[in-house]
Amino acid sequence: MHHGPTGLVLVSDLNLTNFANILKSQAGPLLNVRVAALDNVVPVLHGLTATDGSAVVWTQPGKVAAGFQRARQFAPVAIDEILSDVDHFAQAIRAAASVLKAVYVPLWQINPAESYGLQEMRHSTGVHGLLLQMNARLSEKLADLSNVHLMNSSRWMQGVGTGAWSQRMWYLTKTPFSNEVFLVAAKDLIAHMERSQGLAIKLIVLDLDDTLWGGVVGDDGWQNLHLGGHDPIGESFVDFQRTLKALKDRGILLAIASKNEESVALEAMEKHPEMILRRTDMVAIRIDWNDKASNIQSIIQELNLGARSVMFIDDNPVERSRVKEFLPEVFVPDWPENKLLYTEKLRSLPVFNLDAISAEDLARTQMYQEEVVRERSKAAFGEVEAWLRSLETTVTAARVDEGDFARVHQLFGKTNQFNLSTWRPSEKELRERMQQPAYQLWSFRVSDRFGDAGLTGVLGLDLSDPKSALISDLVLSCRVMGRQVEETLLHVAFVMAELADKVRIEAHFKPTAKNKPCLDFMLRSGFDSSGEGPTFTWSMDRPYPCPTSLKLLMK
Amino acid sequence: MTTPTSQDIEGTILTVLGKMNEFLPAAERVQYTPDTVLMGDGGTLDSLGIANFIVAMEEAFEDQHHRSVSLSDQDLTDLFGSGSVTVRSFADNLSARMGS
Repeated sequence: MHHGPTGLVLVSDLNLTNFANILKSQAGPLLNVRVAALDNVVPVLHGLTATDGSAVVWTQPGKVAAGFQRARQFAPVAIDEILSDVDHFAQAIRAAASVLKAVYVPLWQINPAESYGLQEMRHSTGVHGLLLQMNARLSEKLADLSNVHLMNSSRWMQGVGTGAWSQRMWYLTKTPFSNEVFLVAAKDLIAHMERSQGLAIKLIVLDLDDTLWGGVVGDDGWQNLHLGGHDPIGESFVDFQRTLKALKDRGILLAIASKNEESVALEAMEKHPEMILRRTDMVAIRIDWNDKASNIQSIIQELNLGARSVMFIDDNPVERSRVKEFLPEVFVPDWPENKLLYTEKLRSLPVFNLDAISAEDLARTQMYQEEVVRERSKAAFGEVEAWLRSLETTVTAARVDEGDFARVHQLFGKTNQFNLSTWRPSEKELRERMQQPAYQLWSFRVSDRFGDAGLTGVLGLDLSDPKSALISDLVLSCRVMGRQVEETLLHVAFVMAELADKVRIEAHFKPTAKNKPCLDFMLRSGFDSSGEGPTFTWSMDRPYPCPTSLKLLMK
Repeated sequence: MTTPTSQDIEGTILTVLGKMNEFLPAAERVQYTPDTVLMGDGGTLDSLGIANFIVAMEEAFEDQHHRSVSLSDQDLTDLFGSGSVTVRSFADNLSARMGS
């Protein structure tokens, strides 16, 4: 079984048929693209329903605000009238956003070649000045909606260059852009949608020599590396490290895989005064003479990540090629030979989900470092039970409240491996489900003597059936998998089902390409399994015990 | 500046159609040959496809042959007749007009 295609409706006063075709060609059958009736943007937006999925709303500024069009003809205009039209348009987008998963709104553009003299940037009368104000007003009016994404369409135009705007296309097809613009926009949009569905890069594995610094530390010594100073190459490496550090501070994990003498390379990381990234910024380090691909694989296993969420950066094309061949799911971008272009290359990669940030994101590196120590401590215990007891794990279960909502929503959106149904709700959908009287949504926080993993589990229970409690949602971060937190979630389901006088618990597993770890757990959980999917059942005539290796606190 | 031959134009048309194919879903792509009917009876291009083709041809002519060719300001039926227009007949017709 696979998930049905994602719905995407294109709402516009432009002819977006070419854009629709390009989206289909880029995304394949997983994206179900529909073009709404042309030129009826506001009524169309008010008529959208949840079954439409998401929407792209791509309009012309002169169609949204008639005053703006008059300004292009040098007629006097009132800025208040234009902004009032923008507000009206924003209201229609808000209406659509209240029922859709996401709304993508390319910012308004006009051909920069349109010249209106020295007055064109003037605040309330110049055409380009008015356009700036319209975009700023739209952004302000939609700022509180987390599922509305204003898209930087100027980047698409710049990516295409002088051929971006086409009068020929305008007069023949009623779209002012070349198809190349639609191609860049489609790639940007699809990358954004994939990232929001949990397909973002979570770990960057880095080479050292001529990747993180200039030169070969084993030959040159750390004192002679190109790093900082009055040296264009050195400055570019510092900027590159700063950019990586910023990503790390945003929740992206960093690791090292380098062929070097470990002591020599670590000395450089610790002692070079211009190093931005230090050893403590790395969640895993493999510095030896072994095969890099094997080292990357071992890092992935140690951190319990999917290979598709990993990126490898190396200046050496041979190493890149080896990793691509050995680990085809790892993202290995082509890397510029010119070291001055490293930072620009990294910033241009549309692979990071930088939209939402939680306390867990900010502390992610520390959490994973704790996990590595935890896993290594496992080796000291011959028996898994003894090791689990030694962790002194505490699981705190609580009904989800407003304080936890953002993190819970994020877990639904990002978790792939341990996810029973891989339901990717919008905030509105999740809130609606939480408001159903027979639905309970539980959050689980996990901590142990090594540290606090934070809110890492979610259990959704539907108690509407008189006899059966349905586990609709079972989501667990890979960081705490294999520590009997899984069984604890099922135990809480049992407790709540017992309180509600149910005779059984059911859970319908919905397979995806990535959630086999959840299936494997359910198959060994003790629940009976039957049918396709399969469906798992627990009869309430016997208790589902809480693991003795940990302490459960229920709030 | 030499006038492009019919074969030159045929090559340009096939390049343009190949590029247009890249913008279409896999199921809608067509393998173009000199005998493929572009427009008219049994034509592979719909109205939007014809518009895309005209724009792409005008741009490709400027890029490849450094010649300006104007297709968008003329009725294509006047240029190529109302019957089936193949890649080859389009190239022959356009070459003849440019040479004259």
